[in-house]
Amino acid sequence: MTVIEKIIENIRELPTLPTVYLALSEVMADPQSTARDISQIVASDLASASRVLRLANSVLYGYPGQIDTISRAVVVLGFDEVRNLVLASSVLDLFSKQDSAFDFRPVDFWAHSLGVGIATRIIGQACRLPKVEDLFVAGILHDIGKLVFFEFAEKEFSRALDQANKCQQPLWESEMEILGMDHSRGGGLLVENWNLPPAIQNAIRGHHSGLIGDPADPLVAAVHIADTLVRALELGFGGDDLIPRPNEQAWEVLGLPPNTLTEMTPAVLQQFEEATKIMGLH
Amino acid sequence: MGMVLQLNELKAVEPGIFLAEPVLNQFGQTLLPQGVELQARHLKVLKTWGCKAVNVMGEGSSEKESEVSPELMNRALTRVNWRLKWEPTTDLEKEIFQLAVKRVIQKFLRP
Repeated sequence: MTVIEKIIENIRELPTLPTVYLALSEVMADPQSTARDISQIVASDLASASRVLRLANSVLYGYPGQIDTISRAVVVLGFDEVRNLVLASSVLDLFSKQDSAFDFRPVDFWAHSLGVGIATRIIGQACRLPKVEDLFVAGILHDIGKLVFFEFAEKEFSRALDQANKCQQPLWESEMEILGMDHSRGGGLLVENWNLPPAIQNAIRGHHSGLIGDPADPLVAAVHIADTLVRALELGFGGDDLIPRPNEQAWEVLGLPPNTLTEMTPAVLQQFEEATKIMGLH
Repeated sequence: MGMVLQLNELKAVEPGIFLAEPVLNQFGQTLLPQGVELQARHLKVLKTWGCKAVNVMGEGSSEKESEVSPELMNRALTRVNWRLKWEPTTDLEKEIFQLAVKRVIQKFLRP
């Protein structure tokens, strides 16, 4: 069995998304659902509920009052945003390995992912993209393929990390050489298996080039630029220490004025600081 | 206002400004010593050597700039140049470069 076949088979056998997220999606598909229905489901998972409330009250949302119940979080933030916070919170716990391989530590990986989630959200809001609730989760999951490799092909992934470090090349290049696929494809296969929305699947598959679709999907472009910015700011660690060259075409898709990234950097850093504490990544 | 160290991208440097510290090539050889008044011919040579930015003496406008020693700036530039396997040419690329340098300095200065 090749490495690729091994990875794909394991993805298919991976547990589905956390129960609470699936239950939420099912309830939300019912137009009769209320905020109370949603809050009862979230509240049944104490870890998720706690993180959702702490995130809802954080500088990520800047809500002036106190959000002290899940029902209130649903009313203030919306159904989709709460569901995506549950997803982000629970995927963190889904992959069981906590030890490190070469330079890859899950806690640093998640910090980088959280940073990209935050930056994608800020960039997307500046562009006034629709489906704001997809921005954060697309950013957080953009590198999920690395966890797939770490979980199911640790030996080969360790070799890829080692080669990326020795040859000073992007990790995705060494993944292609050693595993036969890179983490954007691995992650894309995973979230396709999870049946996540196509926009999020595309953001994961396309985050290196920043361009998917005709016209190009601005969510993919936002994740691409966010990834470059977060690497420049050294938030977490993505597996290699390089700053990728941003794709100018992806930047043009966003239509933002010059110096936008400089202006939004303080907000990215502040929200990152707070969110990593809430998610226990500090 | 005292003279402070500023990181300037080469393209933004005008003749007549003074180097705050020597410019070295990738082999550690001095291309231009500290204190040189940069003229057009100097800038041309630096561009030929692929120099991206230089430390010059300028008018400081914030306290933060005065905290950046030449050694710290060198460390930050060395770190970022290692992480960048490409030459910043567009406005976006230069902005990313500057943000990366500032972030390294910020982390060094953090108590």
